[in-house]
Amino acid sequence: MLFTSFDFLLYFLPLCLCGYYLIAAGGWRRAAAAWLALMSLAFYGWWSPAYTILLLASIGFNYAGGLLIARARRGQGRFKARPLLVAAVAVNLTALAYFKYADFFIDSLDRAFGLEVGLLHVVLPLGISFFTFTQIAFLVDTYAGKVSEARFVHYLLFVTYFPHLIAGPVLHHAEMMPQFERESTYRFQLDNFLAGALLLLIGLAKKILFADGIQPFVAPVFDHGLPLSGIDAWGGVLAYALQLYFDFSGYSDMAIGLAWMFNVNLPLNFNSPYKAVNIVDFWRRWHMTLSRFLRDYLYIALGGNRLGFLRRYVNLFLTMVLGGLWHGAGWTFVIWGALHGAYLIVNHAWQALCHRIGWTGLGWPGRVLSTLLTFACVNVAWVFFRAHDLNAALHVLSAMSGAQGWALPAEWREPLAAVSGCCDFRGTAAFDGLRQLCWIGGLLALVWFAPNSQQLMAALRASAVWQRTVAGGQAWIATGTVAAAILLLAILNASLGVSEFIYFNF
Amino acid sequence: MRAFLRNCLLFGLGFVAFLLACELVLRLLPINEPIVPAQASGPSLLVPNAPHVDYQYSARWFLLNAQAGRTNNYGQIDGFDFRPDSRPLIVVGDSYIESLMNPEAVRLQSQLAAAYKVPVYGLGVSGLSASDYVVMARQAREEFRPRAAVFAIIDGDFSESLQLQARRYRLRLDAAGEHLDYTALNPNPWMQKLRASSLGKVALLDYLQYNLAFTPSELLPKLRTPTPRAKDARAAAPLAVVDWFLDELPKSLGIAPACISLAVDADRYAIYDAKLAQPPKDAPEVRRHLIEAARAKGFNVVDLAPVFRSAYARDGLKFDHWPLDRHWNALGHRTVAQAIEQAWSAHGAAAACGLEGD
Repeated sequence: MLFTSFDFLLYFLPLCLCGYYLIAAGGWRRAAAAWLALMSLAFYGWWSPAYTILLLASIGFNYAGGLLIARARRGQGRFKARPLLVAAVAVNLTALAYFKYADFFIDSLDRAFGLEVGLLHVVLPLGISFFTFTQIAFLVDTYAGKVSEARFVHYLLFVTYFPHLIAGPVLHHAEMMPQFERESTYRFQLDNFLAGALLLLIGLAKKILFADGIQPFVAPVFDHGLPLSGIDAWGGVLAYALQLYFDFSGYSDMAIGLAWMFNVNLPLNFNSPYKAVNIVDFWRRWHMTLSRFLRDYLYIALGGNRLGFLRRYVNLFLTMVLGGLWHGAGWTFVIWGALHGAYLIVNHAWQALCHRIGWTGLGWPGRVLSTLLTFACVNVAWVFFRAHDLNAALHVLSAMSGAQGWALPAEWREPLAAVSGCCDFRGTAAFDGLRQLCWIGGLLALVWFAPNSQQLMAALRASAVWQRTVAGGQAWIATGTVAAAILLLAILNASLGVSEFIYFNF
Repeated sequence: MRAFLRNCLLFGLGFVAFLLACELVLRLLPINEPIVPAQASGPSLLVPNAPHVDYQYSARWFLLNAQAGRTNNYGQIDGFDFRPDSRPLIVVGDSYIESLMNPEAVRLQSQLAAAYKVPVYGLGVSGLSASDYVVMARQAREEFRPRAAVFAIIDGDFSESLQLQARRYRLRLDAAGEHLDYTALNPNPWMQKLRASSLGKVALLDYLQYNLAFTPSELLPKLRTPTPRAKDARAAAPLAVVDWFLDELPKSLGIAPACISLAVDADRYAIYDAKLAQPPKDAPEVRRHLIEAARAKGFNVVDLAPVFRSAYARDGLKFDHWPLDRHWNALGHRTVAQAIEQAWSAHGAAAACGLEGD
């Protein structure tokens, strides 16, 4: 069930909200949490009832694992905590490896050694990367003594909570459990409800209007193997960079907004990543909860920066390669991760050099330049992220470099007659001229110059208008207005056909 | 309970206020307002829409290719009135000839009108197929006595002629001969009057229905994984339909095949790049048979595939609103018009058919 569908917006969400607040109003808080967990399982089961069993098995296993590890830490039970942790993490990774990577490994071995072993054609369970990582984090935190969970219902809800289940944010147990314990979480709060609905609306607009709007310009560059000019390639890659950002940040806004409607705060996942002034900054702003996970549970576990600068760079590189592989079972994702690892190494080395020689940069022109350079590097890496295989990626990259020339749309020949001598107007295979330029220009202006969703919401909620609205009856009028806007966007979405979120693939 | 009811009322107020705001905004924008259909006075294709009414067209949610105009005395979208018995050159086709997404001046019929000294009437109605073209030809003969005709043949015209569709003719061929079944659509006259009045024009409804193609049944819950809106299943058109079409056209129009031009469209996306080729709705042998049989019968056939291919190789310009709308753009119409003119002038057919004036 997609957040953008009528089934979700008209039936699932209202039923879920009504049930939750009605049960909670009767004073049955644990029952309300159970209702939410049950509805979350139904949400997951809508896609594939069979894989709900896998999800429940994973939850049961990790909950039991967490209890055993916690007991072992207290010196109770027959086992030691560390072997238990290693075994539990290994089981999780094995399941992930089977469902997500088995065919990738077999295919790679086939190609390398000509083994001709048949592929297993395993169907990737939706959200397996997200719920596996969430639970590994829980096990590691339990081992570290940061958390301990006794209530199965709360643990079930923590993992299955439908706003984050399929595509994140990747949650920390410690930031969720106190919220499920809190009495105020189960009390209807119009302030949170309205803010959540508004953020849901912003997320829907990002996905339906912007991500799906610019999407038609992407496939001709990546999927058809057309002969591309530099303009074609850059047009397609920029369109993809914007599609991916609005798609995933739109999903994250929806998830956070939906959680607010239930008085639950999810961690932020995006903070205007394309405004980043360097790659380190980019990873502090893009898919922030995954970056946090990779840093806390992989980079630091590998030794982080505690083992000297060379080992630090190796750890960084390994972390990013594995982060790339987490996104998808393919060599293009490995290369994408490796590229970002290399970018991060160069970035850290450059910062160390600047620090050593005492150079403080070029002021605002330097910031503009570094933002553009960062954005260009990110776009080069996105080519591997989007391309179906290595050859397709190299084909697009070659065109981006200008190796296939810089032919402009033939339609521009007449309007640009004054410069016809110095430009090539042979025509473009994929670039759609002014229309595509307007889409890219408009969305780039939004990502570079407009405040992001959380800045907008923070400013709104701090404003006197909001306070007055929430205090008075206008809040219900505003809620009705937002509901109508959500319905209109859902209708608009239906007119575009089914369009899943890109991160559902991961 | 009172507080609950009050909150519901306020919620409803906000909901309605948003819809009203949308209505106000949409009234200022060129949304797709359907042309008021003609009163159901009979199965006439000649008069598809109400005469002398304004129309406004755009596609998709972002109002692509917005155009506006006024229907003529026959409810056709040409901007001038047609005269009975005026012996025109008629240009028949579906939405490619109706061409709502292009300004009137660039449409095929307008370009042919500039080239010849006779009236040129565009008889284009969205959704027509080969069976409808034959009926249109019969009705046009009665009304205008055309001296020549151009038919724009688009992929799907033959398979679609075997399907039931409201306000269209379905062809059935059997041992007894042809059967053309008309599917009437009799709208409620009061609703029609209301929709035609300014009071009944609800821009938001038009936008939902015609720009977004929304139907209220979509709101019902689906107990399965949603799938993209499916295209109608089409029956394969047998070659016999093509033969029937070619036999009927000259008889229906009462003019020689040499004065009937068939402009047969091509998969233009495949011309831009072979990898963009689309699976055809009519089998490739249907298109091939149409061209060969029509030439053998003496029709003036314009195969647009080589025309588009050579023009694209020369200029690199696309002939449609690629990639969002396959209909011909201004260049597409101009290219087709030039190809038809060339075909007619090549064998002196233009003069023989009286296109250079009486």
